[in-house]
Amino acid sequence: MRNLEFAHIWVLLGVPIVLSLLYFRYYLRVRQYSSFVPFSSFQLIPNSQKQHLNFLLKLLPVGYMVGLSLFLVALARPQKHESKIHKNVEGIDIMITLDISDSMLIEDMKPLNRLEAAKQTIIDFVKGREHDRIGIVIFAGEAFTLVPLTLDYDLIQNRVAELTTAKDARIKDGTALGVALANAAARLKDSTAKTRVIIFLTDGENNSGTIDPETGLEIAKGYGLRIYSIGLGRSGPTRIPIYSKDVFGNKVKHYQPFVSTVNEPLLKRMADETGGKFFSAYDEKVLHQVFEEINRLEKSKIEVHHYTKIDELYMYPLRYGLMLLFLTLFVDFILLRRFPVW
Amino acid sequence: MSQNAVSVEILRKIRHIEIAIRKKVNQIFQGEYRASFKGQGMAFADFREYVPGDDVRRISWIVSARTGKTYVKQFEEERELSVVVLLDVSGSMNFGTGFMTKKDVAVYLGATLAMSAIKNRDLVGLLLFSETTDYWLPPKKGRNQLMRLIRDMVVISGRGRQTRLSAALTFLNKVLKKKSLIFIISDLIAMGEYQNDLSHLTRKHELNVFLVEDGMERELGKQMGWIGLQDLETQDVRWVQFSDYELKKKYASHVEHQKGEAIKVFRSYGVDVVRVPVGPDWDRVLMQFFKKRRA
Repeated sequence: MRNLEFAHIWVLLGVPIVLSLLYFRYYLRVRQYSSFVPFSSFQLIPNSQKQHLNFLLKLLPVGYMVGLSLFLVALARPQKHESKIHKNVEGIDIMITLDISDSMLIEDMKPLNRLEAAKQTIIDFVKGREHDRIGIVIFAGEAFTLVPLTLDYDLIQNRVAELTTAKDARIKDGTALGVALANAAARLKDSTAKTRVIIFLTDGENNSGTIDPETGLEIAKGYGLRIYSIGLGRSGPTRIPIYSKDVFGNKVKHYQPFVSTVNEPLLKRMADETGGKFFSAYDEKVLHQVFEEINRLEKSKIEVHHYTKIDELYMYPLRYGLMLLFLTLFVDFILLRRFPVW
Repeated sequence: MSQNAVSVEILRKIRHIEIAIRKKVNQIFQGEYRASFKGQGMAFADFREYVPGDDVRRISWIVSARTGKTYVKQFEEERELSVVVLLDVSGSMNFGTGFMTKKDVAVYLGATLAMSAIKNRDLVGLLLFSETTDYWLPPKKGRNQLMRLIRDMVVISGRGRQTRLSAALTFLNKVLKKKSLIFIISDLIAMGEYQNDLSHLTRKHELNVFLVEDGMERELGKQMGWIGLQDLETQDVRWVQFSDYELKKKYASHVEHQKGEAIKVFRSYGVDVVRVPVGPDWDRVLMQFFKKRRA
């Protein structure tokens, strides 16, 4: 055992003393048989004698020696010093709100499209955090919680990795910023964490949903949530891939012209009014940098306490010493009651 | 063994023994002894010229006719026996569970026999043996010899020594020229090999064996648990469980077997073995012994 110390180590000096006393008592006395009962000749005694007694008798002094030594060891107060670093971690709660509308399929980000880039970045971000509870809300025409606040990062990563767009997920298409915001806020409202953050990723404008983005923002503000808003992709004309099946059932992809617009003023206001920050991520590298910056900005507070825990271990040698001593006494004076007492 | 250093205590003991046995010897054993061990009567010794007053029946007519003078046969009384007490003083003889040890009884026996012989004007000698012949007192007559013999028996102890009967028997074979009466007093425990010497000795001398045995040498005592025993001969120690019923049974048969073997050996050479239990009854056994001999 490491870190084993004795508070009164000098007591252990008694061990050799006890051992030598018992040694004198038993082993040196063996040569004096004066107290043995004289008998004419052992040739008279049949040789069927059980030998266990002689063996046990030799063991008895060992029992006393070990038992008493254990007492002394207990008396020396063995202690286990455990220097502990206690981290008092104040984790933060992060809700990542991800747009999965069809416009996320626009292929102006690597590896494939905006969605894939966002997924990859979120996964990396999650990997980089510790002690923080993270949840995911996805939204298109409506919003729902993919993963509630949790420390199970593996779960988050798995769920994020299998994300698809609204169409595939059979969610109403559109972009309901207000609902998403409200949903994320609802998830955070009961949290007791000191810092509660929403990371809001979108590439569009509010065009559906029952809750106005303004209302959502008010809710978030009301709960004191900080919003980091990220506008994905470049605004302007672009093309959107459409996946459909041809007459043979094969999946084919063709493009439609599309005008991507990010409601930057709204996102910017969301961030400013809650003390967060707005980022415009027009490609995957910038997106990555954005998340790195958020990661930097939202550091969880860690208090470190160093202290030494002392475990008193005397009860173990005491217990076994006592057991051994009683056992030895039992064998000595009851089981092997004998004359002369030897 | 120093012969001068005899303490008052030992003198007292010797005196005690003498007094204890004297009455018995005077009243019983002297006569019993005389009757039991008759000598050969008269043995021819020599021829001598007749002088007036000689018994005419003792004239040897054959010799007288041949020489022309009158000769008488001269006889020697062969009644004068030579008795040797062969006493075992090995360690095991110091064992006794009662008031007496085997040695005590052996000394009483030896002293009684010796006194009976002395009173009968026989020669008495003593040989003490254990691993070797420890002490040899050649046969002599007289009260001094008796007292000395008793003292030697009391004083000399072979405590802690083993038994080798053959050594004693060999020694007697060498030393005793005349036909002698030998009393072996021993416990016959762990005697070693002695058959050869015994057969030699029995050819010329008459042997009698007194087997002294303690009660515990018949059977183990009460249930006493574990007892540490020390062999009086080899000084070894051993723990014996006296409460072991199996052992008890085995012990009795084992002991009996050993003694039976020894007795068988002696009987095969025509030597009578008398078993003498340790205790105050030893004289009764001696009495029976004499009676049996006379019969």
